[in-house]
Amino acid sequence: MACQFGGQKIPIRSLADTGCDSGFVLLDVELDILKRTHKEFDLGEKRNDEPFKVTVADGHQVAGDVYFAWVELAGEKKVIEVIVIHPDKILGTETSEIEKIEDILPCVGRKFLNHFDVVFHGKSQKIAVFKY
Amino acid sequence: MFGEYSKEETYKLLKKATGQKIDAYERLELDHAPRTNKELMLELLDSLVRRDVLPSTTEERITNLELKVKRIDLLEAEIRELKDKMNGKEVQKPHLTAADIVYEENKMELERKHFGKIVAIDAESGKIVGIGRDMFEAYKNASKKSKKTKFAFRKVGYQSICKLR
Repeated sequence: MACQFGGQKIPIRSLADTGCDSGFVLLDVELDILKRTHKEFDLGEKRNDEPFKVTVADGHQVAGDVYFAWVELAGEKKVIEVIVIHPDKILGTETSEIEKIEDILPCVGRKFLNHFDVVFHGKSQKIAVFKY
Repeated sequence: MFGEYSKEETYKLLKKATGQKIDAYERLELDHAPRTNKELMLELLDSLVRRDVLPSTTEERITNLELKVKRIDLLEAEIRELKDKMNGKEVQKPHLTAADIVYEENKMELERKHFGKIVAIDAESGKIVGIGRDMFEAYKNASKKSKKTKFAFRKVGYQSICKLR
């Protein structure tokens, strides 16, 4: 997916991950690179006064900051949360919250999506997994 | 042994009485000196489990099994920390912030009424100032009630705001 960032519409590529419940996520190093390479790049000030926890795949809870930015996607313009995570600042480890089958949310990544020709059109699709 | 005292205890008494030091015992003492609070806690729990120094008043309240469970918890935490160190990740010691305290105070009511929503916390005034489906909505609601431009955010009923997996 190609994103155009900020008023100057800086183009950057992004991955869509259907397993995440987060919005738009950047690493702190990526934000630094964007600021360094595009002087006009401005996300404004962060809106949290202390870092919050963001759980990553290995169960660690890393520190996150939030910024609010306008985003335009195919002509549609909305304010979104841009979450900047600091992978080196670990605030804790996750203890399991999964108790019911509805809580299970497997990650379906690029290696899976590229394997099928299914078009999602924003709709969820049922996946059947059975013995090979 | 000197009466009911061990060699080390006898040496300590002699040192206290005469002021004389014996290098071999000093080294031994250094080797055995606990280095961290965690090690001290483990040693104490060990001795409590062995009932070496269990005070009679505590003995009535704490069972041997509970102590063993506490010791296992401590050891597990230490293993997790060591694993993180091996992976090159240093875990910061969990500490409660002012916002954590405000959240904990309101936790029961929030979880009953707003489970899964995001709350904006003004830690200075000690109040929950905004609630919303996402951080932007919570921030907008908080801005109406507070003059501050930054807030602490928590997801009601969850340990973290979001998951990247």
